[in-house]
Amino acid sequence: MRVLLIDDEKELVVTLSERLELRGIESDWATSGEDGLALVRQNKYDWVVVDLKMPGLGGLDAIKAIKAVQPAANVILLTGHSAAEDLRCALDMGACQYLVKPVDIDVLLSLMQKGVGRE
Amino acid sequence: MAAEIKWQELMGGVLAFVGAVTASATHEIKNELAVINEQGSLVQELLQMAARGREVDPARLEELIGRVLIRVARADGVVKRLNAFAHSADLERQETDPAQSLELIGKLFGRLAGLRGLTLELAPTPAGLVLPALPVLFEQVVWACLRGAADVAAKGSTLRLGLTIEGDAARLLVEGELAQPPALPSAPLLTALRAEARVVEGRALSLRLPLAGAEG
Repeated sequence: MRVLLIDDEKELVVTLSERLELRGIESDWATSGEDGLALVRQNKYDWVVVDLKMPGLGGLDAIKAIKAVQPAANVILLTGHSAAEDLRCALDMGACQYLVKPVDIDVLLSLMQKGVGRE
Repeated sequence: MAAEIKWQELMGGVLAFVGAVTASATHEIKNELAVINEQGSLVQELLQMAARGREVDPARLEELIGRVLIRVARADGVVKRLNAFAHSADLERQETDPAQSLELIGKLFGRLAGLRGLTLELAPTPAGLVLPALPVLFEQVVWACLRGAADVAAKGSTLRLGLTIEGDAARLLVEGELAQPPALPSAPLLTALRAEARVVEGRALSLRLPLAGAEG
């Protein structure tokens, strides 16, 4: 399984990536929607975790662009607060799930292992 | 004759402003907690691995704990600002120190500016000035000016915020690379502050506010 983490908080993605690697999950990270999209164009990912609020290419636009490049990639929206409007947009853009910060890594792993479908 | 204050509209605007600031600040705190959660969890996992006999670099643990402490301090800074902002609405405070309020709003607006790829610069404010207004109203008008300018500012540009003295009034100026004239603060708010707002040459938002002691 290969995962891409996209969040403008570098310390968050670096540390979460290290925690995934400790569990044997290959992961890359990016600190902007633009950089994340560049990685999506270069590599194949099973899962992409995208922060909602980022400067430049925001989470919702990033999800749309990622799905255009890799329709098969499963996308999880990462958000500080579960605002219904944002979640509905994210699902419309192609995200299959969302996670509210702080990330519970067991919940993240559970979502990935179950390969949840769109709800 | 002074214009009549439309209290219902004014209070509606204040509520929306307090909500916007609170939402932004709590989002900032949430982000800090999210990073602290990752770093603390990684320390825990590395210690669990060490307990099972795997070698763990003490320097890595020290680095992670150091970063946690930095993040705690940052979150504490946001909480302090939010607390100071909450006291801006104390009704017994009928006067405003603009230097304090500008610094506070400048910092609280920083996250929104960053999300839009903007940098906010605050020029030093003359000390000892007093505005005859509730701090929350002055802070709301500053926020509205920044928001109006940020909405039309070029991405990656800098917004400059400053306050100077002009006779018996203060002049607030928000300047930047503005693609079009920014929206002005609401009329009820300007009336309550006895302020006059105008767009200067399409590139700056200027606000004239009477200082304490000036006749309206």
